Amino acid sequence: MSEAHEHPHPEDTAVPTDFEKRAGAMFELLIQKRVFTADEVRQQMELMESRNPALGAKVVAKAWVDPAFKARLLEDPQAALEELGIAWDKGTQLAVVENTPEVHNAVVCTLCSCYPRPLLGVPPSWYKSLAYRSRIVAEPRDVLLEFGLRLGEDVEVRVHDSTADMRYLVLPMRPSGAERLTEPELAELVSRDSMIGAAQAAPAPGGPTRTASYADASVERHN
Amino acid sequence: MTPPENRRPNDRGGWPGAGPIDRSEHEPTFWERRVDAMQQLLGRKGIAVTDENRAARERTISLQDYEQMRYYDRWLIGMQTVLVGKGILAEGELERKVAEMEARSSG
Amino acid sequence: MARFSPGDRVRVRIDNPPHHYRTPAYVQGKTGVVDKLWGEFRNPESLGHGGDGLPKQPLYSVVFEQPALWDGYPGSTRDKLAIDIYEHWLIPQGA
Repeated sequence: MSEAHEHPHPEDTAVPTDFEKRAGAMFELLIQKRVFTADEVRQQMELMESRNPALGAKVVAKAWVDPAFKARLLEDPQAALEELGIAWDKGTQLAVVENTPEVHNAVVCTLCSCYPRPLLGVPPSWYKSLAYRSRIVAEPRDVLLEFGLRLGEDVEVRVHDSTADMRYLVLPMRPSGAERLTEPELAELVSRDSMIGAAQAAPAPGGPTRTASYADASVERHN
Repeated sequence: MTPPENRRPNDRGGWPGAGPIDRSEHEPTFWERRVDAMQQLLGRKGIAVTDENRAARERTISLQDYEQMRYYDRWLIGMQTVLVGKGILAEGELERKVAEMEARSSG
Repeated sequence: MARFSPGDRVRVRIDNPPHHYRTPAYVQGKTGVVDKLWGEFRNPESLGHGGDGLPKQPLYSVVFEQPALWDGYPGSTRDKLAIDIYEHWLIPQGA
């Protein structure tokens, strides 16, 4: 995980790209015009760095071990997050969609790149790609197969297109054989991709590699 | 289904001809993170809301550019459009600043 | 006062206004079922052009059967697409 840097590394600006020149000019202009200060930009970058999938994984792991918390999370996600000291953003609203043996959820923003950033950080490039945005709504099973996830005919694949102010977090299913793991150990099994719906949670160490809860599901281990 | 030629460039759901998804990881660069941060700050300060940024990109980026530009390139264009529209930047001011900074660094 | 309730069948308007809007082409003209009322939110069509987005509009999660959205849909007939649509884009359909 890269740390926030106040100044670019020398190698970043050795041969600045056109983008970097324009971004640098924008930064200087807006500071000159007192739109914001360099300190504010630095703090915002640090805030962004602090938001990463480990936060989402912590929420998922707690939902797995604590059924009452899980119920509160599904009912009022932002209030449940506050219990863990996780602040959401003003202006958008979180929804949590739960994977079950009957329903597998996947999330996209076909119109741009809306993503539950307070819990997952910045979205991966593939999530923002034109190919994902086009195909996950029209042929989700083919897309999920590219990610190594095959789902049986009797599982409903439900794709959520975040077109408005709602942001979606997928609550993946708890892997079998994970009963003895602690919350932090469980959180290790929860990948970013599983909270987008492009993967399942990783199998528990020593647990079955085939997820018992999806008929015909096979899983390739993803980091 | 509305054919692509009648759609806005950003309206990608079901857009035909999309190939395999490139799943390689690209850690955002320093300047990409900084552009992101600047955009967030403009929102937090009530200078530009998310939908203004989206609308600016939709208005100003052609289909060809939308398909070829990188993600944060589009954000920077949108940010410039919004700020010029609000009179915070003058037309061409960003380009003049780039030129000034290039002259500075080679001077 | 929200016009629709969970379970209502609705069709999405077909339109391509010149201003900013958030209803993708692939659901326009299609019929689905209201799943949830999320609440009322500022209208992005106004916000996009510097307006205040008021009055707030009811926002619904509308669920579509995938085979109804795509000719030759390559998946299970039970697959669904859930999408967030503002009330003014929805037309009531009979049962």
